[in-house]
Amino acid sequence: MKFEEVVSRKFADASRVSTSVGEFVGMVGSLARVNMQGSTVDIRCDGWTPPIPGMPVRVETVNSAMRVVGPSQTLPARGKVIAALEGGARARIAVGGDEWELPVMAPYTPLPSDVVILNWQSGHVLGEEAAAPSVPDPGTNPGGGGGAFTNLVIQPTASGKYDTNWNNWWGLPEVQASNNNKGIWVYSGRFSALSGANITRVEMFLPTPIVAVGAAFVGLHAYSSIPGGEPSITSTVALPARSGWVTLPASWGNHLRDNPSHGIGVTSGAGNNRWPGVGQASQSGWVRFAGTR
Amino acid sequence: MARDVDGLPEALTDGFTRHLEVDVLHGTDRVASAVVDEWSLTSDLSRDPRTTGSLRIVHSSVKGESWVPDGVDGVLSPFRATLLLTEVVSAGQFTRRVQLGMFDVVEVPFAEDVTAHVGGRWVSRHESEGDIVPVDDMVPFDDVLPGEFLYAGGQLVGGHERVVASIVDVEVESLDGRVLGASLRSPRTTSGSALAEWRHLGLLPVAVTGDGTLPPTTWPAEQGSRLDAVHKCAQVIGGTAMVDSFGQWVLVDDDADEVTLTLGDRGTVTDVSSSLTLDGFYNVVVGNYETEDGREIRATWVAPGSFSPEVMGREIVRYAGGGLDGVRTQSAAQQAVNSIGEAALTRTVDVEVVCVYNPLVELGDRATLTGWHRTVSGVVQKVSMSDQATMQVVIREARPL
Repeated sequence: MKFEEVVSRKFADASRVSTSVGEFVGMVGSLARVNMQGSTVDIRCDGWTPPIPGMPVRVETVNSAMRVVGPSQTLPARGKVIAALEGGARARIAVGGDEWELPVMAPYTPLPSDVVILNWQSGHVLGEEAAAPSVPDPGTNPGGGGGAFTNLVIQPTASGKYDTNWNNWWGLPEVQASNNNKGIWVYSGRFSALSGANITRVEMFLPTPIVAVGAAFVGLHAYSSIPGGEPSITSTVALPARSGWVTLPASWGNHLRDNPSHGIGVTSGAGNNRWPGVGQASQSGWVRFAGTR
Repeated sequence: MARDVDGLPEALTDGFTRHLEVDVLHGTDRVASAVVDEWSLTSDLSRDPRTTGSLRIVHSSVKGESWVPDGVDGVLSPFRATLLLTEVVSAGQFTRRVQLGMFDVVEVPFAEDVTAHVGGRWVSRHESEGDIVPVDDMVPFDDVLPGEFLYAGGQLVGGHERVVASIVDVEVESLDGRVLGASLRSPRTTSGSALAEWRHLGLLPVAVTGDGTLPPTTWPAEQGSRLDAVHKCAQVIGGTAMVDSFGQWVLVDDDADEVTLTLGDRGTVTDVSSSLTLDGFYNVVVGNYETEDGREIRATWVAPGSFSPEVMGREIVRYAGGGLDGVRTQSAAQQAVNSIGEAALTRTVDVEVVCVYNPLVELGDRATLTGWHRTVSGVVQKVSMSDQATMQVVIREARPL
């Protein structure tokens, strides 16, 4: 047998299953008559007898055989009497958003506004409910998928340095923090990926510096791309290390989450520190976060 | 497109040299770097994970260390290594780095250490026995190391075998493979913002601007459920999800980046072909939907004009429906089948392009091909790139029939 034949036989063996809904009209012998998909069809109805015409039913097709498998939605067991009909033998009942006319069991006399119990199997109103059953608290579980995370990496889109003496950006994309240079990494709003998370740890990667002399500070800025003029870098703290993954204040995580267009920059004032920028060294300006969501 | 790099498109039209730089990360910590000569990566938008590839990493040992992985130990162990691939293109003074992306090592099909004997000393027989060796005893010694004396007999004394290089072949896959593997441990019920749900489940940063509304949905806990959920969120937002060269989730249709390939004298395209098929075409759409309380909604669409069943002489029906499309009203059902129908009148044509290697071309880019008998514009559906001089790109173009 050729490979193609093996594959086509495997596919032929796979069951084809589809599901659709229709409206039950009535029973014709042992078959259920259903209006669906633009026609009236008689379908086998296994293990369940739809008692009330007008009820929406689910029809499943397995390997071209159609079956009515049950009501398409579970009908509520409780309804409210709107009016008694035929001297109390029948009643008009509001159930969910619909109204049904159903016969009443003998000892009960329907009165408007009564909350009644319905038997959809036979299609009767059983009687008035004296007390509702107590429902145990099932508890809630958050479900899969979220939880704690580490190593969520946001990469910068550009970087540069601004000379405050000459008032210009120069030598892009190198980053410099010196007496008269400020450097920034920008992230094009990518911190929006933190939305919905609570950040507990922020670290930034600095590649091996070209020069590392004197003071260096790291801070936040508000630019999603390289701005026209001098960048303003705020909330500065002393840079704890000049290369590798450097721990930043943990509060910056939620700040960047809430201000996703912001970024990170470096200043000095008394020193000279230069790092390869974006596209000059691997991982320059990467920021990694740990937290929960 | 990978990060735009000044002057690179121009440089690629002329002579250039290139090499692939590999940073080996454990988590996000860089533990080693290497240069790779033999590699290939194949990306395809119609499979999971989108990109797979193989690399041969040859590491010249500095201190006798080996890169052959053993379990979770070793720089390149599939149990912990992630590779950051950066293509470095040079033309004279001009050098540019293009990050191709991050890839998890999933398999090491072959690994071998090359060793050499270092230290020690060759002690000839006459030296060890304090005797002159008769000429008759001199047998040709066929394993002469460079710089060694040829002595008949004798032995190497002291020293040890030392690793001088490791050759490691690795198979890699793109980071969506992580999401494929991290199936949900428990089922999860959700509704509302598809973007918020994507961020919750996506493991990687999600860089998507649009949003959509998920109907009440429960993701099952079964194999691949997390990646399925991500793809459904992307579908609700209105696109196809992929991981880009920055290691973040993006929508293919969200990507406004455009890359141009040119055929002709100054062009880099060497071969173009295309195909046309009736496969996937339909001229009737039947939508079977249901309301929130399980009542039937039905809508149909029939192609007009030259594609109508009467004119074409054949009727090809496609069914629409199902739970996640969020169609709950008659007008929404009609709108849904109309848009599915109109999509049929736009044929997707795959144009296969062979062009000079260009690291800026990335899966899911909007690409334009100029200089052919007509301009082709579409989404990059497949890319195969390697250390070879050319690469294959399949542009999926949507053309009105």
